[in-house]
Amino acid sequence: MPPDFWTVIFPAVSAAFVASIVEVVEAFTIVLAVGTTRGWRPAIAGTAAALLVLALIVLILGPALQYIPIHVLQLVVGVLLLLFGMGWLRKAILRSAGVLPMHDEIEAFAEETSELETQVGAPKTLQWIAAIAAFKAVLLEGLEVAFIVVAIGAGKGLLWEASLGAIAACALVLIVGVVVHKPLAQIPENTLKFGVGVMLSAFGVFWTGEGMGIEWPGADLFLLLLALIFLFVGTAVARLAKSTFEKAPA
Amino acid sequence: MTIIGDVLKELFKMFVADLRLTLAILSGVLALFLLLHRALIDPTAAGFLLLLICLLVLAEAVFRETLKKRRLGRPTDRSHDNS
Repeated sequence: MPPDFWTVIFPAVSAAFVASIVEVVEAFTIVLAVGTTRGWRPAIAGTAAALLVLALIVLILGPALQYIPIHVLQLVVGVLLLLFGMGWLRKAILRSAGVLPMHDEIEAFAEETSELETQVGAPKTLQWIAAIAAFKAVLLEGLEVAFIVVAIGAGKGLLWEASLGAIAACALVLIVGVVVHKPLAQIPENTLKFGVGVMLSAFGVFWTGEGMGIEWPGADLFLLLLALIFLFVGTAVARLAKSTFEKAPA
Repeated sequence: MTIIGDVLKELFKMFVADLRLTLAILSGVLALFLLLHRALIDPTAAGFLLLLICLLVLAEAVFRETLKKRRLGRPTDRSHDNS
C-alpha cells in the first residue's frame, strides 16, 4: 500500500466517487424521464454520446496538464478546487439549514417528463429532441465530475484512480437505477454534497498553499486536519444559520 | 449553440456560484501570494491565514444568504436553485 494511501489517495478517490454519485443521480433522473417518455433508444444514444465527450475531455485535459510546472498547476488547480468546493459546501450548508430547498428528484423527473410530453412534431424529431435532452443532462452534470477527476488527477497524479472512482459511481447508480426503475430520491444527496464540499475545500486550501510554496506541518497528513476543520466549521455554521433563519418573522 | 451556451453557463456557475465568495477568495489568495513573494509573512503563518480567510468567507456567504432569504420569507421556488 502506498504511504500516502489514507492521507491523499483514499480522500481523493472518495471525493471523485461521492461527487459522481451526486451528479449521476441527477443525470439519471433526466435520462429516466427521457427513456420512459420517448423510449430507451434516444435515452441511451444521448447518454452514450455525452459520456464519450466527457471521457475525451478527461483523456485530453488530464495528461496535457502534466506539462505545466507542478507549483503553477497546484496553485491554479488549488484555487479552482477551493472555489468549486466552497460553492458546494455553501449550498449544502444552506440546504441543511433549511434556507434553500433540497433538490427533489421526483420533482425534477415530473418537470422533465411534462416538458417532453408537451413537445409536438414528427416521431423522428421527437426522438432527436429526447436524445439531445439526455445528452445535455449527462454532459452538464458530468462536467463537474470531469473537473474533479482532472483536478485531482493533475494535483497528485491520480487521474486513473479518480477516473475509476467516478466510473464505479456511474456503474453503481446505473445498477441501482435499473433495479428500482424510478428516480433515486432516497439518496441523501445533500449529505453527500456536504461531504464532497468539505473534502474539495480541504484539497483546495492544501494545494493552493503548496502552490504558493507553503510547507504544511505534517505534510500530507495536514490534509485530514483541514478536512476535519471544514467539517466542524461547516456543521457549526449550518446550525447557526438554521437558528438565525428560524427567527424569521411569521 | 444552446448546448455550447449551456456548457459555458455551467462552467461559470461551477466557480462563481456566489460572486462575492469567489472575489473574496481570489483577493485573499492574491494578497497572501504577494506577501509571501515579498517575504513579508512566514509561509506556515500564511497557510493558516489562508485557511482562516476561507472559513470566514464561507461563514459570511452563508449568513448573507440566510439573512437575505429571511427577509424574503421561506424558500418556495425550487426552480431557481435546484442543482
